[in-house]
Amino acid sequence: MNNRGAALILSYIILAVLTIMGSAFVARSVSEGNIARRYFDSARAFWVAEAGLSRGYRDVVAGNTPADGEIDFSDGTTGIYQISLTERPFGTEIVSGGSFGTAQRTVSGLVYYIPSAFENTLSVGGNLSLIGLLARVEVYGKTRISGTYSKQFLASGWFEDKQEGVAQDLTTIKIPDYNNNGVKDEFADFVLFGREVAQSLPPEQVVYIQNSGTVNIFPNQGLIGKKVIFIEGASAGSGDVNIFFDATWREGEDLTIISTGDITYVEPLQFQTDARLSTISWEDYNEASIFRSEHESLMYAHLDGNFIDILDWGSTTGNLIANGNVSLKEVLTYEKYYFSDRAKNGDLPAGFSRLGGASGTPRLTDWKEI
Amino acid sequence: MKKIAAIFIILAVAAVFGLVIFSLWDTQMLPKAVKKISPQKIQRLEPVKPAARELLPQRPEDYGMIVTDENTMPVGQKQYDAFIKDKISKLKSEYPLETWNKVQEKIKEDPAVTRQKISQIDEAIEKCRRLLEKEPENIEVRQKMERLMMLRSIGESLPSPR
Repeated sequence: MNNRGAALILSYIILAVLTIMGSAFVARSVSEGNIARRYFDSARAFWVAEAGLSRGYRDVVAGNTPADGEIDFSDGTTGIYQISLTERPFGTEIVSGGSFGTAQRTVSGLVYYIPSAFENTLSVGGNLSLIGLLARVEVYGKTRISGTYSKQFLASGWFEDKQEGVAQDLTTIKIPDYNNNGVKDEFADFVLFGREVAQSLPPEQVVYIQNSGTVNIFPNQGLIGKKVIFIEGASAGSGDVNIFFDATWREGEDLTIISTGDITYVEPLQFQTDARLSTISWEDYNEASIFRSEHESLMYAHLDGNFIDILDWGSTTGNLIANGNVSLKEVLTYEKYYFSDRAKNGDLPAGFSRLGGASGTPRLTDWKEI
Repeated sequence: MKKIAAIFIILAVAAVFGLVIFSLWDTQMLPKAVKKISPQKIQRLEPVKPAARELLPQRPEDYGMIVTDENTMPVGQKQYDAFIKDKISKLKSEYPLETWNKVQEKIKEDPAVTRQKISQIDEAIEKCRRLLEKEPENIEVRQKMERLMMLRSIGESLPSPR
């Protein structure tokens, strides 16, 4: 009798458990369906936003005002993108929001006009001079000089493609009008440029130092992962930087050093794969080495570029842009310059996209999802 | 029989409980980027504002940088040697031997060549010194001499087979 009662209770319990389990499975199936649908909507919303960004870029480059639009999919569904623009001193920021079904994704990018100077290996706003005995310089890619090229007796220069007397618009970069006073290329513009660059990056990627002395940098582990060091002096020409050999640099590092004074790179020793160290200086860029040196960099000097006292052979890959003169002095060695088109490859080091202006070759850069 | 029934019930309840919890947890695993909105509620995008993050100055010494000014900058070769040799020896202690072996391999050259370079630098420094005696305010020559002294210190300090 007792056993029969127990079997009945057990049957009820098993029935209840099976019912609950069945309900849970049904709930889970519905939930998975929702998840899949929302993933699907999200992916489509992303590509709709991308389409809007692409459309916005095309319209901005063509001088038109981008309009919102729809994207029709082959299954009969439709996504909507909305575009907004913000004019900045260095280009136009585009924000595109895409919506599909129940999802919305937003992406943004910067229409940046690559200054012509980035197309050259050596871009010289003034004169280029090669001074020294038994010196040999080879420059691959374009050399564009607004002034003239001269060399001392016994020095030799080989240029793959050299032109003198080129318009300064094609060899120099003026700092955009960051303080919006109608005048470009002022020291105040440069300071605001440096701050803009520093503020545009996550705090952990930036070192911002206000100092009017000379800052001696030895790239080390404390700088791993940094994208920008901005040394801001109190006045034009202060805040000089010396960078000492960077043999301790890590692979893949890509740092830009910005200074309101001179930047001097002493004994570049970058031999790590894909390691780069670029510079932007309000005044001169100087480089000196005693041992074999090599580095990949973009170097922008608002004034002169001086490669001095080089006593060995070396190679530089990238671009040197100097609004003033470039001199290769006391070169007792063999120096090669190779071109690296990081601008056109959309791989500009931090900060350089903020040097753009209203003309040049357009590119979409600084892509991010908001 | 009762024991078997009790174990079975406990296992079944635990399984159901686990399934329900898993379903709830799985729902929370949606990517953050997926915002559930109603198409009617899509808001007009606001133009992007300029970056407004506060920019706080940092300390150079926190990144191993050394700041010099008119009063503290090295003025002679001995001071440059001390300045650069000291820093290089610190870097050597921070990095594995493998790194320095790579450096050594890269800058490998006949010690006689290095000595010749240093001797050329000495000559160039001497020329600068003489020029500065005549023109003490010549900043270009002063800067050149500073760089030569830096190079000399590096030539003496960086590891190379001697």
